[in-house]
Amino acid sequence: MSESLLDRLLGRFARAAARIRAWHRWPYFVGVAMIVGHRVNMRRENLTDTEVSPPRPPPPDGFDVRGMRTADGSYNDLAKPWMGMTGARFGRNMPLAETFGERPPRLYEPSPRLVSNRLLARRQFVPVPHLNLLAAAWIQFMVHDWLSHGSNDKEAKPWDVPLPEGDRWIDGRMTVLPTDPDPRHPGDEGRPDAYTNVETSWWDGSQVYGSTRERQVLVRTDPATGKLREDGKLGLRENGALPLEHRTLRGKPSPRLELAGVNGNWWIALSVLHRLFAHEHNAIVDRLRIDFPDASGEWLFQKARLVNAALMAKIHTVEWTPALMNSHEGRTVMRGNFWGIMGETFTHAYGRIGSGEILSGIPGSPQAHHSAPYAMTEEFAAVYRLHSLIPDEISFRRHTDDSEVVRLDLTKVAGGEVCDVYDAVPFDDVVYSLGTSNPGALVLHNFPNALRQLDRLDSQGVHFDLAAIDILRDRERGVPRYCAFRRRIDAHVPSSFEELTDDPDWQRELREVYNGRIEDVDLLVGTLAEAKSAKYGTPPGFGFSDTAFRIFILMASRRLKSDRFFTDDFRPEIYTPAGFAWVQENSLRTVLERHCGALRPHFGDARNVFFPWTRAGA
Amino acid sequence: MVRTIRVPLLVDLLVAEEPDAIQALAAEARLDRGVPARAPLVNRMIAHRVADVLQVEGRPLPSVAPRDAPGRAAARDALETRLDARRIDQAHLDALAAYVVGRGDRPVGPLVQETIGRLFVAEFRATDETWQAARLLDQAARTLNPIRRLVWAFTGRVNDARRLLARRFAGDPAALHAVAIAVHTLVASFQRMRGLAARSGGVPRHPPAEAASICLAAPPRVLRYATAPGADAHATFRAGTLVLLGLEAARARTLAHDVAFLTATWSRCPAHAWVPALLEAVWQRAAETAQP
Ligand code: HEM
Ligand code: HEM
Ligand code: HEM
Repeated sequence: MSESLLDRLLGRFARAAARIRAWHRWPYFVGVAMIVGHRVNMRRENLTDTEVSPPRPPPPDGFDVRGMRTADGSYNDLAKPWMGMTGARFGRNMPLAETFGERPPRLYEPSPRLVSNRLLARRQFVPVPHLNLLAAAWIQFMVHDWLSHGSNDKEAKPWDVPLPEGDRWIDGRMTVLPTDPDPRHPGDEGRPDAYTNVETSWWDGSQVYGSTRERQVLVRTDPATGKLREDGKLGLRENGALPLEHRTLRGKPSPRLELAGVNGNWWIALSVLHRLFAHEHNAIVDRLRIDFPDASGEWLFQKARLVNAALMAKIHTVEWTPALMNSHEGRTVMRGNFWGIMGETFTHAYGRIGSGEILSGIPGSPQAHHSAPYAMTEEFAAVYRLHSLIPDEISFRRHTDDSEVVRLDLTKVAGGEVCDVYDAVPFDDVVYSLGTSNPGALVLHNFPNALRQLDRLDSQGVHFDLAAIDILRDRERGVPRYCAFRRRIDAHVPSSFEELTDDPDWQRELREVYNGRIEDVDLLVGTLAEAKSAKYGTPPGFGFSDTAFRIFILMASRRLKSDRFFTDDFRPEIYTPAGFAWVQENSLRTVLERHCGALRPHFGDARNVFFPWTRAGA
Repeated sequence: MVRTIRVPLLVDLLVAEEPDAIQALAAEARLDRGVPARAPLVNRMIAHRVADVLQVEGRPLPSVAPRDAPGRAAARDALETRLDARRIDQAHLDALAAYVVGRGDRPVGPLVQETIGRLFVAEFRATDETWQAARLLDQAARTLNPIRRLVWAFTGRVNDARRLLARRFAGDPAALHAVAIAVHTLVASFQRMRGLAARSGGVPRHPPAEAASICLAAPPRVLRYATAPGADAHATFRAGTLVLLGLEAARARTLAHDVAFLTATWSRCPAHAWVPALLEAVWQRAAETAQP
């Protein structure tokens, strides 16, 4: 709870220094100290609890809550067993007074569709040349672990997004169902609406394993027999592919859709990651069974899940994050976060040094929630709306000679059509193709057009523009707009469009769309515009904005620091010695080596497996 | 977080500004309002000052009366019932709305005082005199400045102020609390409203309930004494420890009405529903008048 003197000094220092210039424009050590200081300040001021009547978890009923993760995330925190569980509320990174959801007319000022058309629509694909498409899929894979608002409110009157003049939107009218708020309780008087996270908020692999016991049973079921697998493994088809569910986890029919803990917004690259980590789970089970030949399938399953989840967290921290911050400092320091600044080798050889996280990294240090119980936040979801990473088409090529098999639009590689891709292209070639393609850059005018006109082929044939929805959702859920948001994270607040971005065309377009009102610029738009602001915006080498970065350093560390299985109970006694070693010794690279060994020549030379792989013949 | 300031024999304070800690301490049976039998020097000074100022004919105003003071709870409940039935007359609503949109010609202090006073005495008229009396009582209850207190004691100004207001309300301690002490919290709320309305897009941008919630002010701190030593999850206290509940800081963080009014406790403000309803009605009216 309480801050050390060093913390307080760093916090004050960060604030003072930021008034002169942003952290990334100071020399390295000053910048790092400022980042740490910003995090201290945000841990104090940017964590707001919204829970007034938390869910009541059922009693553990003999389940070993100390040594295993429950399906719904309850009992991770033994003092507040509801913390982070399925159905708990999203918290906030902003003061509550600034988080009242916008309502018409404000909700439509300016029209989210206008923003989509004029500022977001992709004109020409802008790639990130130094990343591959697995990096884009990875973050969606993680988001599906962390959060979802679930189904929208079908009872409520839909939002009616005004169409700009001359817009020929399919139905002549753009209606969007509101997000379903949590029912209000007595303690909510005076407070904004709160929403619930239908996934566990923990970093527990729930995208693979589901966030309820029922879902977990489903993914553990053998598709051949329809029975729960007794060996502790996940169900897979004979050809190694994921089982078919034929509907989404919210129950909507979707022919040939694969089964996963979370199978929403499914596309080929997401399917690949799910398949890899289902296989990884099964490999962990095989390894644990060697040491525990008599253990039950249930025990093996739960221990393997614990290990697999920690491995994914490690991959995210030491491989994905540094790939997205392609700067020398970023890499060094972020590897430090998981293993500690003393480095992986040191921690391996000598164990932890004291309990401070700066020296030895977070995993294994004592659990702490700082100023609010652990929860995902609305603002975190907002800064992770990274849809511009997605390309509009993918070229599938053979790993043997890089020759093209087929080139497909995004819609042809999504939902149930993922299976058609696998029918035409062998799995290894699919993975190779993703490893050798680039994601889109997080800049204005780069939102995939396929996602700007999504057809949800349910009975009513619903169409929607995800770019407009991204804008609408942030406003609806009371995420402050860009300037208000920056004001609350000690970041420079632009007072003109010239300060927001250096690109004169963007300045002009933004000014037009927002009627000259800089304070009205939406959060998402601001983060994409700041990609071209040398002074205040995206730090050099970063794949995402400084605005998002502030929320990441606060929340990412919480995902580790609040979780008992990454802190107090990150130890061999809980993970089993073999399981603990598995986390230490593995990475996405070894996962790929294990399950796609034939591709080793292609990713073997990549310094980071999220960087583009070597093409055949190159 | 709970802060402690403790110097043996001199002072022993607990300051709570976290909603959880406040709720727990407000429910704590060993904490009460009133004057402690034994306490360090500064604690005693504060207790006596508050008790001296916030009384009428020797009876403590309800907001500082001990939990079991005779008739307190019953009077509180009766007042709450009465307030719930009370609507604001159109003239005051209009005047407050005019103030909020920056057009009013009446100073906000007396205007709010009159609005509250009429809940108790139908024809009450606030004047500059009654408003200055309210300000003086409020200051006197807060200040530790010995020179000011000496001057006041010498000139008898505080007693005069109290007498002036008491006369208008037939010595009703609840009314006196309302027009002399609570009035300042409400004035602060309307000042915030005026600020909100003045910001770009102002009035139409916020629905009434939201504006009311953002602008509601809570008492900066309310006082309790420990009648016996004890501890809870948040704090340890001894007999005589002075506990300051920083309601406004906690409200600002959570916007929770139940923190601002201590709704879920024995000392629940009887105006806990009336005040938000008034703020909403005024904002609504302001929105109507702001229409072109
Ligand atoms: C083909 C790929 C993708 C599709 C089809 C897709 C589709 C969607 C849809 C339909 C929504 C819900 C819209 C609503 O609120 O009604 C959504 C939300 C979201 N998406 Fe994606 N998405 C994709 C990729 C990604 C990626 C790469 C990210 C990167 C992190 C991402 C992050 C998010 C986030 C954070 C939300 C908000 C979730 C919530 O608040 O519940 N998505 N996406
Ligand atoms: C001593 C300095 C630093 C400390 C103690 C620190 C700490 C952390 C921790 C513990 C995490 C959580 C890792 C995760 O869960 O993903 C994190 C995330 C992150 N850090 Fe740092 N960090 C430091 C410096 C930096 C620097 C210099 C950069 C960039 C150049 C950086 C960029 C990031 C990013 C982008 C994330 C978020 C990734 C996500 O949301 O998952 N950090 N930081
Ligand atoms: C913004 C406006 C107001 C707020 C936030 C507020 C808040 C509070 C709080 C927190 C208390 C408890 C104090 C303690 O336990 O030490 C209290 C007590 C009280 N309030 Fe208010 N108040 C407001 C306005 C009013 C008004 C307008 C009235 C009268 C019409 C009123 C009448 C009372 C009375 C009589 C008590 C004493 C209750 C008892 O017997 O314990 N308040 N108020």
